[in-house]
Amino acid sequence: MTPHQLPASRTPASGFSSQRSIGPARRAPAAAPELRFPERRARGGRCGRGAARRWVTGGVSGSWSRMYTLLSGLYKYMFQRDEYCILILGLDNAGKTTFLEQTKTRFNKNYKGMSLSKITTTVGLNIGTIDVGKARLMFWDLGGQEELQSLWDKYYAESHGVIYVIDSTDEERLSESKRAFEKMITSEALEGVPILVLANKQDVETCLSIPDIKTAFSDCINKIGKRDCLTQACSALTGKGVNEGIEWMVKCVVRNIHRPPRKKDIT
Amino acid sequence: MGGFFSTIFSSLFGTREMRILILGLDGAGKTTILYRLQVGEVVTTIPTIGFNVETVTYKNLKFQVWDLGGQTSIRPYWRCYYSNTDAVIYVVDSCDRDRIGTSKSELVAMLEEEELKKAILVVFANKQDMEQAMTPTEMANALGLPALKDRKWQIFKTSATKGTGLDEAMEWLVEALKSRQ
Repeated sequence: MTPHQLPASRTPASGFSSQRSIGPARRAPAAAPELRFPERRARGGRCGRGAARRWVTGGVSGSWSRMYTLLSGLYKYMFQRDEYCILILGLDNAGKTTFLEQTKTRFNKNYKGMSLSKITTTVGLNIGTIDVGKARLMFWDLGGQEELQSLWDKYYAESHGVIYVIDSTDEERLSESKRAFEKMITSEALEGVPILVLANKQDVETCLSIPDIKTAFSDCINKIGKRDCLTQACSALTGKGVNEGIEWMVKCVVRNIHRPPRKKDIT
Repeated sequence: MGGFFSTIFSSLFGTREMRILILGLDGAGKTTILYRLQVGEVVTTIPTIGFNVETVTYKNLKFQVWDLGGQTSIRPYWRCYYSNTDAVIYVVDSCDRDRIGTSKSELVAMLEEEELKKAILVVFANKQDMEQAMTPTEMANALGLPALKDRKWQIFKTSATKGTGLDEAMEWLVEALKSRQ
């Protein structure tokens, strides 16, 4: 195929010269869908816009999706990911499920999250999976009501990290939250597991600040022991502090040699 | 591709029917719950041999709800209905402590099925109007729910005859189904 044989719509761009040796099968008329061209065009960005549009309307999308399925299947087949389990704990109404939904929405492109206003009390388990770099985090969000706290320890042995959510606007229940926190960190099954403390609801003006919360939790400090622990200001509703928290958590679980990840195929 | 567009279409207009199974031991209150959801009334029921199926519309979402008989002899047939199920409502009689073990083993066997891998589990702790009803925590432990690590589940306290808890449960289910990952 010589340059002048290319249809007018495919104005030859210099980037094209490399693929002109595609062989006889490629001598198709302008309207015939061909896979490679649009891709090159999109990347090269040097073709006319009209041409690109014609490709889109030319019914190529079916083969595109097949192509995509094939490639993504191959990709998934070839790679394994390290899976870490993260527990989300805290008193009821602290914002655990909202935090989980916000996280899922931020880290999964195609996830259309639950409307945050419709989240109700959890009496059970919510789950979620996100991929951050090579790590895959699997979240377990448990109910926080006092009665349900007895279920928390059933998950400790398998967790790689804990996110403890505190309602910064609820000063009255801060000591209750501290007691639950204390009970959790003294559990042997959680030894050495990184803990992210989220001071949630920081979007509310009258909320407690990080120093306030740290003071209230001060007598837990010596019980934290040898593990990573960070207190992070956050608003699960607006999303402030969520990315920072998750990124810190990923960093910690990856470097924690005491709890190796589960190797998981991404299939 | 067609499937892709129909997914988009139905997510925009909410027309896809969700397939829900109501399961549980006999006498748990499955049929009463089904008709409470559909007509909003308590109907007099007889033990179901076979199944009842009704379409229930709730918040723009259509549910095709299957209520399967729960007697020992017909439980093996539950599995014939598992395919394409979006959610399972597992009904437990909160006062029947003697048979909670049986209820657990049926639940465990059911959840092991590949076809139900993606299904959301909702447990109705039914007959909460009775005294000595089990609390959700007791029930979760008795049913071994903490062992479920990769499935979303939730317990609701319900009373089919009084009609309590069903609305919240359905509302939760609608949201849970909408936001499936």
